[in-house]
Amino acid sequence: MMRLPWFQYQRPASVAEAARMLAAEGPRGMLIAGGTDLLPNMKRRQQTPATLISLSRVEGLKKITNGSGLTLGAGLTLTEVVGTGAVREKYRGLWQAAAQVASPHLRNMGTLGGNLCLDTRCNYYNQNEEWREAIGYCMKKEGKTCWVATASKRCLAVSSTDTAPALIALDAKVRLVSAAGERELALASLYNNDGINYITRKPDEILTEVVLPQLDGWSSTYWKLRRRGSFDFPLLGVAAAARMAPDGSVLEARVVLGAVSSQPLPLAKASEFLVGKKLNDEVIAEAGVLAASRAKPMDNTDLDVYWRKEVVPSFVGYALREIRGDDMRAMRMRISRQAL
Amino acid sequence: MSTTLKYEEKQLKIVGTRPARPDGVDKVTGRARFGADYNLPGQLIGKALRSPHAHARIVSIDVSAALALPGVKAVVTRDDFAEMPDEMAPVGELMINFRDVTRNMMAREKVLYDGHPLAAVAATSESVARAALALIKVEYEVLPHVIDVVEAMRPDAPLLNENQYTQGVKPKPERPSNIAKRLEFGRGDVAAGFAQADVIVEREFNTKPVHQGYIEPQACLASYSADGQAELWTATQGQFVFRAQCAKVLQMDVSKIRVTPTEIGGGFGGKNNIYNEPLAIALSRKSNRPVKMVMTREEVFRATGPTPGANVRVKLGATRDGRITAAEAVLNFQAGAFPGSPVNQASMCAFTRYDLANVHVVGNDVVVNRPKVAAYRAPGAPIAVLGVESVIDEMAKKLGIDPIEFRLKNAAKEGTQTYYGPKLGPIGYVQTLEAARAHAHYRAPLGPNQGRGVATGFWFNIGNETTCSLNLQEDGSLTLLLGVIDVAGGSRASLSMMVAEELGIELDRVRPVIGDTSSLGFNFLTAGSRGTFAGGMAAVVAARNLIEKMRQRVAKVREVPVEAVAWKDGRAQPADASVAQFEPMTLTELARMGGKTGGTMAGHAEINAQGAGPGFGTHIVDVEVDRETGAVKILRYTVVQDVGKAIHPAYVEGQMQGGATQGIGWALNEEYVYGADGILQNPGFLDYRVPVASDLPHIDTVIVEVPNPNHPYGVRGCGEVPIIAPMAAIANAIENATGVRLTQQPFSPPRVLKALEGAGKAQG
Amino acid sequence: MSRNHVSATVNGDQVEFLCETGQTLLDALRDELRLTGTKEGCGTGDCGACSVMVDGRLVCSCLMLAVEAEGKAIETVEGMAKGEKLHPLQKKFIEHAALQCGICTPGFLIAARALLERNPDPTESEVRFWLAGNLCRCTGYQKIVEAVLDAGREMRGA
Repeated sequence: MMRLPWFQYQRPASVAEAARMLAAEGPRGMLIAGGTDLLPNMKRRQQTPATLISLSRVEGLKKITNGSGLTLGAGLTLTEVVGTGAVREKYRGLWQAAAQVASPHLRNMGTLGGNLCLDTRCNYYNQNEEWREAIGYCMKKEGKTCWVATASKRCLAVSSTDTAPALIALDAKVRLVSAAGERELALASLYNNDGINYITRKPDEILTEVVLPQLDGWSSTYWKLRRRGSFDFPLLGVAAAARMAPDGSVLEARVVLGAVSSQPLPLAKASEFLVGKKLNDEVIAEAGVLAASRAKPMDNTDLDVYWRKEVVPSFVGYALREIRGDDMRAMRMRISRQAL
Repeated sequence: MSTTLKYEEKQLKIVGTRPARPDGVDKVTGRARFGADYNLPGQLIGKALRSPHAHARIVSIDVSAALALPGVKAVVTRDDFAEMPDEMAPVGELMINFRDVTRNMMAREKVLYDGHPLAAVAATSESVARAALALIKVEYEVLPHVIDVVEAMRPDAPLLNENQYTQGVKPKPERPSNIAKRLEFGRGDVAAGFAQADVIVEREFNTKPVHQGYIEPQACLASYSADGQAELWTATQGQFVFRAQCAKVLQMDVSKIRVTPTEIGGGFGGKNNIYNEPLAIALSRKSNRPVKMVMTREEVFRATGPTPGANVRVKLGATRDGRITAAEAVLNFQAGAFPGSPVNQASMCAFTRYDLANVHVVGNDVVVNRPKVAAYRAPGAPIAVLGVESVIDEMAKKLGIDPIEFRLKNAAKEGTQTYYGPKLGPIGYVQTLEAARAHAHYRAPLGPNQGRGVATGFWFNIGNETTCSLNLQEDGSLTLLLGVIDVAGGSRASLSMMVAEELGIELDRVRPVIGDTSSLGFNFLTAGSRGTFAGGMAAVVAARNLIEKMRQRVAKVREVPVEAVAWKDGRAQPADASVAQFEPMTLTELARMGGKTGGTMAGHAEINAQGAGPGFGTHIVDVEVDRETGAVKILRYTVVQDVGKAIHPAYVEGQMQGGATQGIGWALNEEYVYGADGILQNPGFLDYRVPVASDLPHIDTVIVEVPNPNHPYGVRGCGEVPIIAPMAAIANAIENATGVRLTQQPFSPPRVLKALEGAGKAQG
Repeated sequence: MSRNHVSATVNGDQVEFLCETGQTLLDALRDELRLTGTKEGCGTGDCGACSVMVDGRLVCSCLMLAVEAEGKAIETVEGMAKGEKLHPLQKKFIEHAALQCGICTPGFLIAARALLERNPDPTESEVRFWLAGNLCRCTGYQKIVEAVLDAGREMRGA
């Protein structure tokens, strides 16, 4: 028996109304969309908002707009994202990422916006209140110490979203709406490398849309490392997107890592390194080494941290080989156990 | 007096078929009622306060603020339960000590593990109960803790029990120790055996605790009335054993507690022990209201029965031609906070698949600051067998002998003297090895980075006290009232099938019902694969008892000697042409006239079933190892097992597949992860990773049937054996794929990759 | 603490109930509507025992607020059989011995039904992936997968 704490519940009908409610509640209010991240956290008292403002009846959050690019409503469930033809055809990396989140049930509930705003995770934080009290709480909630590295001045909780690395590689933007107005920003700028202040969304803002640019000539991919074929959060996510010249040399590239830091980690150096080169095995291997040098997995989730760093080059390799056009189906079956 | 019934070969009509289970429709429609599905008017919700420390002395507990909270109706602590002296009792295959039972359900002097209960409240709602727990003030004196078995055995380790001196060591040690007991088994002369060996292999293995992982958290509902009677509904593997334990710790008469077993959502040994039950009764007694207690998943992981983790050393010697000359093992098992790990069973199972002249096994039962271990499917055996079957495999490789051939050369068979006591009767070990060798799986080609492993397992199987009643109803249908819990395996089906077979009637005429503790005499738990063996024997005894009564009734009514009446094809008939002739009577006719001719008829069995037949299994597994990540994928799996007789083959296959899958989880992913503070870090299904459907291959089964001579249908029992071999089989398959031997469970990707890299360096 | 009024349909029946904001759909089904066929195995979406369908979508009822059931069509295991006639999946689960202890069975049946409604002819691998959100500790999944494939065949009339 796990029960939720008490809270006030509000159900606005529009983004504007939701924004007004959120502004009125201040930091005591939180938005709930799919609830798959928030409700377990609330059951464990990691979050105890006085008011939940539900986005379930808000109009327009499930809109899909095909224009020069593709605009996805933040309220689309991950299943709906996976079922969107344009995503599957043009933004393969996002499709692969969304398809590998959690389990079928949770993809049916969890939303794209929710996955982008996913709370950072940590062994010392994703525990019930009594457990956290037993260790004297941690920096992320009610405590002072980061138990992952007690000398750390910041919280080292890990970014565990699958879709954010994929969308950053695809150069996505997000729209944030508040009672005061709205803004659009590059998804990469939505995140901070800080387990507590991991997101730059202001408390009164609602993430309403994900805007994907038109990406002619680009290909993209996402590779996820986890133990089981479902449920598990990523131990490593590698998203890559690239545009190639007819001769196979890279014109533009973006490689982003997930689950190795408190934010999705764009790899500027590795991406730049690829530009102008053909994706031969040596180039791919070197990009993998560059990527691994940036990855800083922490000992706060599943499995050994050194190993999690050690496998980065392999996964970057899988991603770049898929971009190059290799037939990765067998490897995909081995790693993901499913065709993606 | 014990009961055995001899095996008789006969034509079977029902036994061996695959009818629908009697509990099937209830379970697919949501009608089946499990522990948490029971409610009573006016019930309160009970919750336990649990220790946040791995080891601490309880200086004081102040519950006054909690009691003052509106809605709180009762609080219990150690003060509400009597001190218990040392007194041992069997639970499943394991023994418990009531001194420890009462301390495990409610800490007394000390809390001994993270999650150890030390108070419980009953309140009008879950949220009030929860708030009340937060108001209980406990003053602890935190003590140094120890959770690793090897560390706990050191002389300078923090002591869990200052009055515990290692048993089994002579003379009595001068200093207390965390080693509760030292066991020794053996025969022959091991030193001489190793001296004869051409090749010796010695290895050390370490395993982590794993949890039974049943999907239904423990749940119970208690109602105590002012006249001193208590009723308890609970998901249990043994209603009578739970009653006995509750009566003891609550100091009540056994007959004043009535335990109704609910449908049980998985047990695997983990529901052999009381946890919240006595607390719920005590809270109900204090509050004069029914009290319901349902554990959270986190409580299940923190405070209910994992297996031991262990440190195991195995040494094996063999001659060039493949005869094992000596075998030695040391098994150091974590017992958890109180003594009583299955190291005894593990010691006996370690080598009992082989005919060995020289064996020596030492087992240590070691307390550590972890939850008290509970039985888990063939308790202890998989851990010992990981070591032994890994070393057997390595030996076969060193000798250049096919691993199945090597096992066959040394296989135990009828007449083999065990090193723990009995000579083995007719067993099917060789048959499982031969069936495995003949299986297409064993010859299928393997690709790159793929490997095949074989391993075998043995389990005693058990019998014990069993009761049932078979009531002939007035229309000729039958109610089979059972004392053994149908944990999952389908014993309601298999026992009814045996009854229908005995009586020669349609299966549909027999309705099995699991009785509460007031309806039958004492039954042992469903454990040790005894359900279909002992329960079946009792059902057959009850059926034969009913037949006997019906024959006598027919003799009386038809005025013929009872010897002239035979029971055949569901009817009473003249025994043969030479005896008195009379009109046959069907079961229905007998039932209709029963009341008027001397009363209704029923068959009964109150037996202590003996003669359980040992079970043996051989597993084959193919794996693929990803050399870049170290991830191990199970490609193909085949379970071959001698079950004596498969009463319901589909349910036997289900046991084999389910046991193998639990073994796969144990091998690859499952483990308790503790921080340096002694606190469990993965008390949930997200971070304690049981296998999911997508990660498993087709699991093939081959049922071997070498009848148990001491059961009327030849049943041995089948639930335990299939979990024994998988860990070793997978380790052997990984070795076959990569040349690297894994000795630390789980064989997680980092471990495998590290081992691969280590091997690469050694070669380079 | 005021309670919220919710009206919805459950297994085709119009129902109304009062719930606290902190009650999940699972709590409401079990505690308010006394439909205890849906089970709680973990409470955090990690086992699938609480699977139900909401407006045709497979979800974990332990992670949906009861207040959000307003106006929705909920389907639980109790609604699968039509009168005395079991749903083909229910029949095949019994036939194939795809259940043992039965605690996960309601969740598996709902999940399997959701699968066959959108993919009447799934491959074994698709079945295994779809059912990977439901834990079973007894069967090793083998017979569950076989039952779902066979039910699919029967429902297709193949």
